[in-house]
Amino acid sequence: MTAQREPVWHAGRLLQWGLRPLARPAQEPDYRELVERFFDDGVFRSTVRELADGLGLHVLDVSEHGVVLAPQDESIFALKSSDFRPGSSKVDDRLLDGLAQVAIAATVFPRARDLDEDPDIVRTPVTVDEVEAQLRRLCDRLSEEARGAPDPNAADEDRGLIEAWRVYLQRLETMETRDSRKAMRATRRIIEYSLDRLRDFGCFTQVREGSESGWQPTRRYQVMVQQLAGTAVFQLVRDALDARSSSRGDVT
Amino acid sequence: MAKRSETSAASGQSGVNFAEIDRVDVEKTTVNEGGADSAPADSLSDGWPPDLTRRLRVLLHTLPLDGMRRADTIRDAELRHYDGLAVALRVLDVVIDRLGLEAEADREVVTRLLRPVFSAMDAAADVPALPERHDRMLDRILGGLRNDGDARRPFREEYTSIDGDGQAQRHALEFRLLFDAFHPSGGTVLRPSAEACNLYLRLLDLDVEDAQAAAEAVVESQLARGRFDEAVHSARQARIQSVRFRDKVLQILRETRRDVDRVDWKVEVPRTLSESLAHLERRVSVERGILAAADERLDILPEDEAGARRAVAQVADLTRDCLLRHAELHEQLIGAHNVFLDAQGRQAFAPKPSRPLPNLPDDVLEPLLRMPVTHAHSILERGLPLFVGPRVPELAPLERLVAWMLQPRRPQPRQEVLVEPVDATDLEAELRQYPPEVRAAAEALLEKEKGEVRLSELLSTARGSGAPNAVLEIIALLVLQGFATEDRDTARVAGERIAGACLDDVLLYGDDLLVNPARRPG
Repeated sequence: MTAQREPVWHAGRLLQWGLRPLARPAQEPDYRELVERFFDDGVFRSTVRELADGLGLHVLDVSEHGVVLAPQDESIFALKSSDFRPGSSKVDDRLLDGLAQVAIAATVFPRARDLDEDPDIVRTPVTVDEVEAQLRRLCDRLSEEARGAPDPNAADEDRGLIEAWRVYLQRLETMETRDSRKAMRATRRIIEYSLDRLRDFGCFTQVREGSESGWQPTRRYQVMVQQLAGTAVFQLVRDALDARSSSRGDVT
Repeated sequence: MAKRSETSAASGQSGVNFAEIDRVDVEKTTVNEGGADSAPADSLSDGWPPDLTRRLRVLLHTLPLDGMRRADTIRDAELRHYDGLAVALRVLDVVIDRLGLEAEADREVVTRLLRPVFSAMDAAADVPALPERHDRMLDRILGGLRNDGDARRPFREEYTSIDGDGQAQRHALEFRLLFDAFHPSGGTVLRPSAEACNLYLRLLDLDVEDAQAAAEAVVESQLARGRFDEAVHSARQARIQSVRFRDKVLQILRETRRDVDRVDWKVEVPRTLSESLAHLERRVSVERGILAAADERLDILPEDEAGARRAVAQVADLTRDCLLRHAELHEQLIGAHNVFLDAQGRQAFAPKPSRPLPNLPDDVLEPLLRMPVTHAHSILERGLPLFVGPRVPELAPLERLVAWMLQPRRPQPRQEVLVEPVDATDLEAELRQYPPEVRAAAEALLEKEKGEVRLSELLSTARGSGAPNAVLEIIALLVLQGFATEDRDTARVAGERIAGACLDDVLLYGDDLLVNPARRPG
């Protein structure tokens, strides 16, 4: 029956499989057939691409492991950061969630050339501690640099003009006044929550690393960060820095 | 194709060199884009033959193994009697042997195949064989081969060569030996790097591509001289090399599928492919020769030489396996150019990671932390979806929502339902829900009727005799069973429809039936 359907129907099916992060061609004959067709049939490939593009999706990778998709900017498939942590509307919370994501990726891929490696190679699992240490190390360094400079005033803080690292350290400090052990937990919890959500999206699996629990990136996550997320966020940062330096140039 | 070009075998070396990214200037992480070929050390010079660099680099690949040997003496006391190097080589042997097979070597396979090795070493040291200790030792060896100590990054060995101007140059060589790879079935497998394959096969003192032809010549001569066990061994070597060879070509095709820009399709790959084709054709003819020789041997060998016969049969099997692999590879080689064209067409639209690649902690995370909250926030809002992938929006279509809200409440499905086997042909089941005395009363009333009678009359007579509704229902039921003739065992009466007659009872409504209690339907 399915053989009589239009190619676009099959293309739609392949994309639907791609939107199920846990499905594997090895276990789903229909999926496998569609992936093979993608390889064999050039017209089908462009149909899939066009369809994906129209839906606001990048097709990052198609292989025997399945289809890896990524949402385009403003796509309906793009997760809103408010949906990442439902029930919290605070800008600071969302900021910290975003920072945790970047820190997790930076812990999985600490060097530039890690992003260039074969995504088939399984990377080592990361722990919450490692991610936390990564963030804290950078924040401590920035705090050290800012030593001696006047503290930001309350008005700046209200308008979101204080630096992001202060928010991270503040989160730490407000807890620290009570109990320094709890402080660790406050930032650790954010990271743990992020990893937990990533697991829901098929990006990590939890493994035991000796006595503590490690988080193993999946191939899908590796492809997403290596192919797109790493460089895309880098580009956004560069654009922002360029815009700032040129606007500062106008003022002086 | 160049059928008997002997030179191609020699020049085919390019593919089996320890080819990977060789980085000049170890202090900086700048990548020498040209790879090993353009390293100054490879230029001709009297003081430093380029060959020397190649040998040096080959030697460097053995250092991790050397390290494993040194670790023997500093390991936990209870693990010291194991020969780390020997175990490591056996691990490589296992993973290389499985490479390209459907069931690649995973941790479980390696554990199983290494068990006898550990046990033998235990026995030699006079200690009991403990699986748990074996596991720990295997962890060390796998960790050593994977470079767990350095977060599973490639091994990095520095060395010096002299360039064309007589200047000493420091280089860093990076390579892997063993790595975990994702397997389409969902698990992970242990896979040897190209370097590990070469290392392992070179340690056997065989030059990969030359050795393929050589190994076959060896098998042939061993067969001819009756050295069957050696022939089996050589055939096994030949098979490993054919696996390795196949993997090299598949690797190129795989990389092409992934990123067409990473593979040099202008010069290098077409050359490798045409060499491979020529090589394959030569090999296939040699393998056919071996197969013929083996079959011939089997004919001559007397029946009582079972060991020799088995060995020759094994050679034939291994060779047949090689032939099969090569036939398959041949097909892939023929289609290789299409892979390239397809990949090019396919990847033209795919988003490309922009270069240079960022160092995520310093180039992304740090600037973000440095930014004012609002700026960082707006960047992260756009960046976050890329890290989690597409999310299917949860939309409720109005139409379905309304239908869903109006549907009657579904009973909670019970967790466990005891299913009583029901005999579908047992019409008694319907009757059984009535108490036995009621059933008996109904049957007694029915028995009283000797001749044909209408159902309506039957019911009114019964009601007249004071029978309760339940009894009337049973009577009607029994009559209906007689009317619906698919069951002939339980019906006690015959029923026939009376055209035009209507049953209008307080209890029942429908066509009236002519009942004949004496006659069972048939």
